[in-house]
Amino acid sequence: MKNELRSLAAVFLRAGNLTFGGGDAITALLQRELVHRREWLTRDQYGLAQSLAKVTPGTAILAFCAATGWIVRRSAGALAAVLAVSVPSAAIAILLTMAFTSMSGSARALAVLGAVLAASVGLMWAAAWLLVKPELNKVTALRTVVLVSGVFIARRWSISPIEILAGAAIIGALWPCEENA
Amino acid sequence: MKFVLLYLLLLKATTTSFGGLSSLPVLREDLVIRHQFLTDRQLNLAVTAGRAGPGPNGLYVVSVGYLVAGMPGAWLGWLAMVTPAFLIIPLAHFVGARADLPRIRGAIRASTVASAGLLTVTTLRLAQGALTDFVFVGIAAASFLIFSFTKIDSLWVILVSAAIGFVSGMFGG
Repeated sequence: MKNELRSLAAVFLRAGNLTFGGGDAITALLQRELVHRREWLTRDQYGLAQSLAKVTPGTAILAFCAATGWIVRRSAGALAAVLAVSVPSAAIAILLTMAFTSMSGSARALAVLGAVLAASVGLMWAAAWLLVKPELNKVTALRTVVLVSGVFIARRWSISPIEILAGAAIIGALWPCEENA
Repeated sequence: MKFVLLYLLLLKATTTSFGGLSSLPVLREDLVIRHQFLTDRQLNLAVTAGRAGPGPNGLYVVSVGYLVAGMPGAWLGWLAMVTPAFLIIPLAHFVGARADLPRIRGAIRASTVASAGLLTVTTLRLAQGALTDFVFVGIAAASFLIFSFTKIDSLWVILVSAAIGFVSGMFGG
């Protein structure tokens, strides 16, 4: 059992800390390892973990790791999976933050930092676009346009993000826009 | 007291969002505007640092914590990032079957769209401070297109952007 927990942690350690590209890349690697190579999860269990991760607040990939770890080894598995995925990569993020902060000394370093921050702005726009894109189909496009316009108007009126998110959730519940609803 | 407040603010952002960067508007509202623990530039830097390395997209919360309160802040950021993940266990127990109900799914999908709208508004404000010349505007546009329409690794985009910044810094300075 101890060996199994160690192997589980090793799989998540590799997936979370040697994979660039965020949640999708990590999920793809975990699917290969947990479902196809090691057969610790069935495809249905994997699908359930993926669906639930999408409805859990926070970073979906961490919820996904907690769920798959929990299915394999209950609480110890969930804890091992989340720690293995997040601790080393968090340490790397701190080192990168230190490096970027220390770059404010020279003009050339500032130009490099400015370029990297500009790339980050593009990344954030892309993140917003990729969240909206699946909702621009025939069934949900109108609701999406109403919601996005509503957010812009609400922010102009200085309504807080939390109130906007709560309002959007209520609109979504009352206007589900399901294909079969 | 500052540590408790910081943890609660970070936790508020992570538990009220779905997806890595969707917590950014709530964080900016609390840490940049209301409490002024952080500047827009530092927030942008944290997003970059969180994305430049391997791991989940939500890692920028750790960088935010570090920029506000050093290593204890980074630890609190990590704790705030992982805490909501464990909500999935009771969720799997009790409400797993209901996650497919149209109204529940509608609420989640609508709040995800609203998160995207909020993220766009927030990024427009961050862009005002970050996109100060044509080179940076070009990098941001190229970065948007690459991240939206290709599978190219974010590390490469950041490295190439840094190289362009280095070259433009040589000619500019």
